[in-house]
Amino acid sequence: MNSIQMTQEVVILVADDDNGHARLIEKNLQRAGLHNPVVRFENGQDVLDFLFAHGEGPRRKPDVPYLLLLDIRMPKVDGIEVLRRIKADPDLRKVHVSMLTTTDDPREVLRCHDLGCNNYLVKPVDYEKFAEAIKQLGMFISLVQVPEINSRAPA
Amino acid sequence: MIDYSKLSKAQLIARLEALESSPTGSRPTQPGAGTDRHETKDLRELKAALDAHSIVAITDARGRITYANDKFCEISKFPREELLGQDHRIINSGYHPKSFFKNLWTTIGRGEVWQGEICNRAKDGSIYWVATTIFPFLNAKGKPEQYIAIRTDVTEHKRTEQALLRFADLVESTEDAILSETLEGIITSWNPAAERLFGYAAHEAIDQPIQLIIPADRRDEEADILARIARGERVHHLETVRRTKAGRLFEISATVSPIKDREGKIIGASKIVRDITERKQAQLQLARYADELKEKNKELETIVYVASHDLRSPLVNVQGFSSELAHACDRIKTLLDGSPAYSADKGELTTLLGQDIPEALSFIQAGVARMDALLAGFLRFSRLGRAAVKIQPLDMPSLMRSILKAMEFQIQQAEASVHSKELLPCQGDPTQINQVFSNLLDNALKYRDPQKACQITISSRLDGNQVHYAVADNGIGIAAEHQAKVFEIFHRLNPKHSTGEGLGLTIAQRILERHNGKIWLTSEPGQGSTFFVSLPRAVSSI
Repeated sequence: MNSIQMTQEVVILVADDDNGHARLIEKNLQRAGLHNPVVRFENGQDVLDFLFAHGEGPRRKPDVPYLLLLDIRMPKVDGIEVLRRIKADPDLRKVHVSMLTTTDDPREVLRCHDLGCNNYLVKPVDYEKFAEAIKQLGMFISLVQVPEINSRAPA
Repeated sequence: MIDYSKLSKAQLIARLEALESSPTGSRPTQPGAGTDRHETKDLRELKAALDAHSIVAITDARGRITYANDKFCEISKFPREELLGQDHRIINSGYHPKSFFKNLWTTIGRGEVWQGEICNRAKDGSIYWVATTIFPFLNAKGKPEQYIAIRTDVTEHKRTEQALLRFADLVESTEDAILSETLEGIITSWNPAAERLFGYAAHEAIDQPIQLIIPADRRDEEADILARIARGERVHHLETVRRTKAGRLFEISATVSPIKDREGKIIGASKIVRDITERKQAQLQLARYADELKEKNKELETIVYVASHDLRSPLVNVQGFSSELAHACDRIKTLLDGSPAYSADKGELTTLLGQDIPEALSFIQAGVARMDALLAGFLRFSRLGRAAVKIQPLDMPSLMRSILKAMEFQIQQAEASVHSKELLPCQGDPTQINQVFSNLLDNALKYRDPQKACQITISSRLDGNQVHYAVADNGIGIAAEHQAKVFEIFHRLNPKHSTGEGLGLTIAQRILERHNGKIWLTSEPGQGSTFFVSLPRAVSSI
């Protein structure tokens, strides 16, 4: 059973209200050689609905490993709250969460680490740096075994 | 008491005769031939007694001085020979109006006695007052033949009286309510300002208990004050509440002092009372303004903070997609290079793809980079406002050593020599003060004069409770008209020649504001600049 799951492709969830940023993230992931499926969310509520399988929209599938790239300043529910809820859930807390935000305020960084984010990336304005950061993340994703969420599928 | 001024001379003589003939009279009239001789002797003795007690002058009918006793000479400071033959204008002070003397002469010219207080001027110019009685001697026709003036020096009394008058005038005219009370709390005086302040007329307040103006809940306070006064204490700037006749309560500040009698025994209290309603309101208003300002400041910092984050977000796109465009251009160029159809338009396409588009993109990206730097500066500045200041004694020589060590590379690059004199300790937040001096040194290096070997001297001196530090360089200097602007946010003297977002001095000034310190400069273009920093001196030795 384990071996089947390991071959399961990681789905990258991008939660960012800025269409441009989301597109740049995708392009750079591809340029870094990562062709994983990407699901985009425009606010914190949508990504929570997906993960917690609420509402009318798309819902996560059991036995699929997810990686979440999470912006902080978003409408409806902000990234900090999304992170808090994910890490407070006994099943979802295994989801890899990378904060990807323009905020480099040390207090904000500390808060995300306290809440259990897996890493924290600052969106640099310098495009080269940004591409590099995404590439690093891509390497990280391809190398690290992303644990799948407990097979106890949501209703 | 007999008012002698109301008696005519005839009446006075009659009275004297009556006194002398009475059994209790001091000098019974001697009958017989010897009377005249006795009279002469008596007169001489009387004159001697008068001379010993009073200032005496005799004048003729026209007022010329024919006799001046020693006391007259003494008080007027004129030698006798200078007085004799003169009239009394010689000692006229100019204090009295002409009518005063006219009245005097009319009175004595009628043969009546004149009494009054006269202000005279002595030979040396000093002023003296004399209580004066002028007694006319009449001839057989009843006309005055000569006058005798008997005077007593009342200068001291007059001075006291005038001082008292001035003092009374002050009490009458002051805006402060002045009142007094006995140790039992009975009001004994009440000036016009007290009438205005409390609404009670003097006759309504005097003899009433002081409780008249004290609100019921403050009665104990007054007993306490009177107890302190009875012990000889003074009560300064007592702030409390009083009540007007109309029942309005208002805030006052009072100074209460003991009143003593001649023997020094405390017999009451005097109070100077001032309405401080306005002051209190002003204080409250000021506190409100301070709060508002604090609130506004916080708001502003939040705006700066949020704005600098939110403004960065679109920049990520501008920069990111302009790079995408650059990629796309490169790709088009590569594709076209291999295309046979390309050759015809090669010239213009080469210009477009190889020059125009890359130029446009480079301007976009430079603009973005600049804006990003400004936003980063805003962020740093707003964070400074929120950072806690931890004041502690600072060992400046060691702080300066660590700054110089951290800047070693920059100093070497600039081929600068930095000389730090023995620096006095001060009070401050180590990180923030480090930042101040780092910025100052950084500027000194940045704005060095390329024609000269860069020299920087750091020194300090004590000025009262502050330590003044000076960072002096021999760089390009700052023209007078630019000196005030250097502390403005994002101001850079020479953007082309320097890097950085133009925040160093703004941040330094901000830090010093929060340390109760100051920063200022003196500068001479072509000679160099000296930046001064003042910080509170160290309270304990390190």
